[in-house]
Amino acid sequence: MKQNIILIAIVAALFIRMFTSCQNFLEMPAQTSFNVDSVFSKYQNAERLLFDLYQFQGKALATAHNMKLNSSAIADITDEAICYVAQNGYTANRVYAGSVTSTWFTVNGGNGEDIYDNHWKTIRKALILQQNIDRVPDATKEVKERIKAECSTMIAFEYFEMFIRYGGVPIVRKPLNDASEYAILRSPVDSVYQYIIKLLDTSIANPDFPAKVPDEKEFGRLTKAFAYGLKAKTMLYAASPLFNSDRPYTDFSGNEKLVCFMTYDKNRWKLAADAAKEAITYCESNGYSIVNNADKTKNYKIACEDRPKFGNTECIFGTYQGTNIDKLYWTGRGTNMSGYSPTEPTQNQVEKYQNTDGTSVDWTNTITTPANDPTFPYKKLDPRFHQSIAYNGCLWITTAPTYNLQIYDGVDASVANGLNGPIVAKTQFAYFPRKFLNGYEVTSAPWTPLSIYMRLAELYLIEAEASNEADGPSERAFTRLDVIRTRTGMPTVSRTLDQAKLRKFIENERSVELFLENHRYFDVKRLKIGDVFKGPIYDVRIIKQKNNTYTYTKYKYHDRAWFNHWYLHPFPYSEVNKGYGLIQNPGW
Amino acid sequence: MVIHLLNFQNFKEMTKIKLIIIHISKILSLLAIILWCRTASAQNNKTTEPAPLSPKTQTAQKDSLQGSFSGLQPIAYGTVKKESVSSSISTIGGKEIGKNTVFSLGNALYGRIPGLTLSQNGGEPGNDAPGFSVRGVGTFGWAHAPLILVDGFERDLNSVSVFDVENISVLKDGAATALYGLKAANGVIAVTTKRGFVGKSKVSVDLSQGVQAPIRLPEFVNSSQFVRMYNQALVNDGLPERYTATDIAGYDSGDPLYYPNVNWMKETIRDFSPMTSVNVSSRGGNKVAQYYVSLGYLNSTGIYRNTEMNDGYSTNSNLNRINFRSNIDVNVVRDLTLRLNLGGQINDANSPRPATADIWNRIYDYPGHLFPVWVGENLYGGTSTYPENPVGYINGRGYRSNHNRFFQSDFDLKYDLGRYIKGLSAGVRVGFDNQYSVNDYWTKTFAAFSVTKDPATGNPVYSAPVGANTNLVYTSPTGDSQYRRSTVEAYTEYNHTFAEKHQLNILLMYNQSHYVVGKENPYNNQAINGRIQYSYDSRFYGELSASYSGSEAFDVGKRFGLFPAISGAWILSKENFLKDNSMINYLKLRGSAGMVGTGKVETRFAYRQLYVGSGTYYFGSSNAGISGLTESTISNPDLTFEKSYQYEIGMDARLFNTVDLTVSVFRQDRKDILTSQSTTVPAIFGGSLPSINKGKVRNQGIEASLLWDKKLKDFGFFTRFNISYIKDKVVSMEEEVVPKGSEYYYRTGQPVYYSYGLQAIGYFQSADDIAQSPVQQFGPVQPGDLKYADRNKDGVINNYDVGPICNGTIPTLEMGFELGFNYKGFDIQAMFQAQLDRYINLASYGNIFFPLRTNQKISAYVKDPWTVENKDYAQYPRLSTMDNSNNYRNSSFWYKNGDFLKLRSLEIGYTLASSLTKSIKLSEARIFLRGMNVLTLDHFKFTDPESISGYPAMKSYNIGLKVQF
Repeated sequence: MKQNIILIAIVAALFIRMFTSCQNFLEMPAQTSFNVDSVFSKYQNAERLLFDLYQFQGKALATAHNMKLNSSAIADITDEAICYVAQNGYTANRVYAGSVTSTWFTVNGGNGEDIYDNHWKTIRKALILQQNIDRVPDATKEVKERIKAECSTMIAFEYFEMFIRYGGVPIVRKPLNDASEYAILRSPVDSVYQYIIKLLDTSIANPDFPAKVPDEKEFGRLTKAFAYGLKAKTMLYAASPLFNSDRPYTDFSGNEKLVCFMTYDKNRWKLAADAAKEAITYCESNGYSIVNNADKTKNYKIACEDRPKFGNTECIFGTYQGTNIDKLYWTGRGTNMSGYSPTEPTQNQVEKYQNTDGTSVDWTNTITTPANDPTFPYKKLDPRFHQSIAYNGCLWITTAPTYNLQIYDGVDASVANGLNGPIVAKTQFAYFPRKFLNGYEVTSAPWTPLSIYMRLAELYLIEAEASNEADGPSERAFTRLDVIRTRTGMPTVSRTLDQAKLRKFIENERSVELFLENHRYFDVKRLKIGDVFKGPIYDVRIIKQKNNTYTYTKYKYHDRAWFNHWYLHPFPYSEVNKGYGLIQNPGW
Repeated sequence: MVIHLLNFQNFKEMTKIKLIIIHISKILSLLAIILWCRTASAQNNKTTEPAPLSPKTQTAQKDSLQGSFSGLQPIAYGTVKKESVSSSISTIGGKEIGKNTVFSLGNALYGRIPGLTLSQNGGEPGNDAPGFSVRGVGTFGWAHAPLILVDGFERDLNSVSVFDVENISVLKDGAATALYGLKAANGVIAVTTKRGFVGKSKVSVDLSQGVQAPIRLPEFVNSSQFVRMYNQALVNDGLPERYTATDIAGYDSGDPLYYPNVNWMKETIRDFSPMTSVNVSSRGGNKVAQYYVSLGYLNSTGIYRNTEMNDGYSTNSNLNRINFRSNIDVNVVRDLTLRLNLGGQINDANSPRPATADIWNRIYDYPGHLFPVWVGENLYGGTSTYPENPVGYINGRGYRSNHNRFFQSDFDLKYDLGRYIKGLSAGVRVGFDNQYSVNDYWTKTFAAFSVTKDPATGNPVYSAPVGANTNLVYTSPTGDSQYRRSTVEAYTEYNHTFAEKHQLNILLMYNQSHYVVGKENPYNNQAINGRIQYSYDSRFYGELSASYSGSEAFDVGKRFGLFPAISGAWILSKENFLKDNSMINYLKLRGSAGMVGTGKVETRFAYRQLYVGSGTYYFGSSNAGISGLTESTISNPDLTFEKSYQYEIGMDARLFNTVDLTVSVFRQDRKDILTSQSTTVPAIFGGSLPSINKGKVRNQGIEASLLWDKKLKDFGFFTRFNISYIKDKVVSMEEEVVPKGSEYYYRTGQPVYYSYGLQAIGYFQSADDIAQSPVQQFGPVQPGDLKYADRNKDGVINNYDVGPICNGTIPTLEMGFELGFNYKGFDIQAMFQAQLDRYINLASYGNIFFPLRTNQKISAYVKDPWTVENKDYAQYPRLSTMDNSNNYRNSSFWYKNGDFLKLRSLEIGYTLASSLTKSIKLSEARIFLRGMNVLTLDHFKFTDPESISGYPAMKSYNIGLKVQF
């Protein structure tokens, strides 16, 4: 009996313990994360929100790092380059075949050209930060004002990126919270354009927004110089034929203003030229300058690939993304770098480079080199060519033991195939990219390149182009071009060019100067010369003969699909299907 | 079979023989142990008192009037007389379960319980557990799986050995599961393990040895067909042919080095592999203590070939499992009883180093015409495009071994308070489970070479190596994972009969569980449950139960829900008008209504708004990335659990004293299913929105089972048949808005897993045909490409033409059919299972069914691809070397009838006559021959209709011995 009582007591005690000790049994365990209030209670946290604004930018604007089109460059869907064809499922190949849809082009997943949602994510982040930054107790007014200007510039930047891809898009002026606010429809091209300019003007007027990052540690953040530059660039796009037109690129009855201004106004070119001039003046009076060192064979590489601390004085906005990200997605298949070759320069691009004496190489007939001189056709080309494209016979690894590329096949079994040629290396094409790889050719070398988005040279080209369109050929245009050309060792521009020829010349110059910097795709579209995308795309076949000469035969590799409705991107189907009234671009 | 075993062609095949010898010697040594045990136990048993009737044998003396409806029925937290059950529960006994040679307990359940649907997985040793659903699909939410209990505690079904199962019950309706409240919406599967009894100890030994083989493997075209088809594909793509007439002639005549025809499946997969199962158990006890103990060993070897080439290790898949269980009941002192259950498992699984799916993709993708397995002595063939020679990929990349251990323990201390208040008892139950799993990776790589013929000398010229031969390197342990779960329950029960006819049973309990997986936040649940059962005159039964249960997943104030259920039964056969009816021996009508829930959510703590760390961005020129802070998913403070309203009416009857029939009709209305807003909220919002509790699904069906059995003197016969027909329908979910005329696009109104796609209406036959047809916006088309119906008649074929096509892989109709005969010592039984209205989507297995896409092979499924010549009878779209985005998308062309009928088990046994067994001092001895998954009848006929790609589902043949003494 006694033991029973003890047992009952134990059982009873257990019951009581259970029902009383479990008050907090279902409480969520302590979290280390911040909530809305704690995040703005310290500048240290709020600053991390600012860093986060750049998350998508870093990837979306990548040049050296290719984070789009299945990690191949946008250049692949232009005449600049081609995607290694074995990668059948790649978006680039879908573009060639004409089978790309919004699912492939603008939907999340990172394999398209754009991720539509990410623009809005960044805009929301910037709006929230801008709205709440004043709540931060431990930051000066100057710091807060700078962040506000940076947010405005970032928002303008996102709208610009959407503007050139989609035309008119909805305008969201404050962070949305409620389902009743979601149904915002597309604004006309003109409103989006005005809104971008307005945001940039606000940033430019902000005295606390620095022209340059005050400290190298902040390199990669947006600055007032960029706001100026983006303003010029926005105006250039607004002045270009795609938008500056009284009719849309394809039938879009009733909604034309969503894809163009529906007026042609020559003055838009003048505005662009003046904005570019203003931007150049602002930049140059604030420490930016065109890289122009005595060694003209290195200037181009410095301007495109180096960070400011290594002498790049013309970088207005570039980012830096750490070491060795996706190097294999950039380098040549089968070479010492054993890459995937998703981006290979075309013969079309090679032919855009002139010789240093102003002449061009004639590729119409097979070129036979002197014995043991594989680089013969390329010898006199623009120094920018040598810094941009790797070709047969070029000195690839410059440090001992040096290495020259062998992109050829033997004429028959008695002549050994080149190690980097189609047969041995399984590389389809005769060229590899060199830009962004200069100095990183040795496989083991850690790759820490720059992703460049805007540099002073682009503003020079904008002013030249816009002034030519506004006022015809003039010294204003010629001198801007001369600076870009002479600093790399090219001759000045012939003053005899008429407006049309200069237009063509500038288009070519942009192709050369801004090669692989993600400009060509949008240039072709804004100039409304979409047929360029059709090709034909050429490559060159290089055969080593028994007498140690090489034959270079240009051949057509393929034609590509192009439809007029491709001038603007499709909105994701899933977005249109949300049923709030988003109008899809015509033809998609 | 034996002849096949001995028919080895080369020395490597000797390993098979070696393995078999090893297994036979294992069995012999075990027999020796058994004989020793037998002698020992025979001596022990001499002093045992005469055994009283065990509870089990008492149950066996069933009331013949009720057939299988008599005896005891496990229910939630208890056991009652079957007669009194008013909810819907199906139970299958350990004896039936024991008729399966399976290493995952789930695989013993195919077709055996109406309303329990299993989906078979691949048969990789240690990785072959099937998926479950109870009564079809009730939700499109995140959590579908039923709650699985082993001896009342939440545990993995496959943690129990088939030999240890006393019974398995599936609790189906709200009334049966109400006490599990917030965890019960998807049904409950409850396993009870064997226990001891008062009586003479019994020792059982079960041995089986067998071989297993893939049910079916996909086949691919040979080299000579391949090169022709490849050329055809290139021509279709407007590209020059790759293989010249000389090449084709070469492949036609064949040359092992230069024109190989490698069947990678044959080179990498054995015809069969061995499996062994040994289990020894003992049960018995006296009035003070009863026990059941068992120890089991299982070995299953994988089907990879040539895996013994490396010194000191094998890369083959292999599972070695040791499991034990010890269930003890002790009468500690008067009125106080203790149950202590211990169970554990040690699993050591081996497999080739690369991931299983990757291995199979290599086997599917690598064409057989490019290079032979070996280009020279110990030199793997390969090219830079195909560097991973499948034989090398399996054997030359090292191995990984997974070590998984778990230990389960629970005890139940129950105090009978009948001395103070008659019928009152109280107790505490506590369970502790632990699991730990870790992988060892041993990695190496191999070099592959391609070979060309030197035109001058005719000698082979080897290419530079692709890849390199490296040594085996150990990678530090990976995949460290562990969980621990502790459950505490306290209960009190009251049983009372008053005025003779009124019976009352009340249960009140508290329950909490704490479950920690690795470093995740713990999953906590808490509940107070109560149940009142009342019966009048053993004719009317009523039951009211409720659970007030809560989960950590929801915000304060929303954590708890009340889940009530009510049910009742009326036994008509006890009424005067049916009493002693010769036709209807037993008849019960029952009905129930209840509400249960599921508290599992995909994003935990979604009711809180947080700012979390985001990815890294590089500022400055240093190599240091800076990580930002970002708004996490917007909070949903209203987050709540899914609620399932379940209604059922049913009938149990025994007719003509031979046929037992059960019929149930049920409906389930699921509400508050979490549905994503990403399809409705514009991207301009810019944040990521939480799911909201707005989804609704209705599911209804009918199930029936029938048992007919007959026993004569020497001859016995039984057949068991069950069928379920279940249909579900999405009643409400957040969906995108499609243009007018395309309303068929919506999922609402269709079954949850219904298949959607374009309607294929044949092939484009000519350029004219293309010109006259609506434009298909998925890519350029040419003759031979699939032509789709313009469902909304808008003149273009695009995503808006996607609509419902057919059912998915969860069948509407499922049947199980069991047959058995015995004559004297011989018995034979067969178990069939069928699933109907079930469709397979070949587009989900593009690695097999999309010929030449991304450099892959052509499967033998591709018959008569479209060409100009055969356009009238083409069976497949034109071949292409491109990733044809017009053809390779979901359309009715790729949906194939997946109905099947499988003979899940077939067993022929012989039980030694008792006179004979007695003479060798055994109480039972039986030998049997058993086949699992031996026959599959289906329309698909290419691979197994359930497990299409990856490690194949297996069939097996076993010879076994069971002795008891």
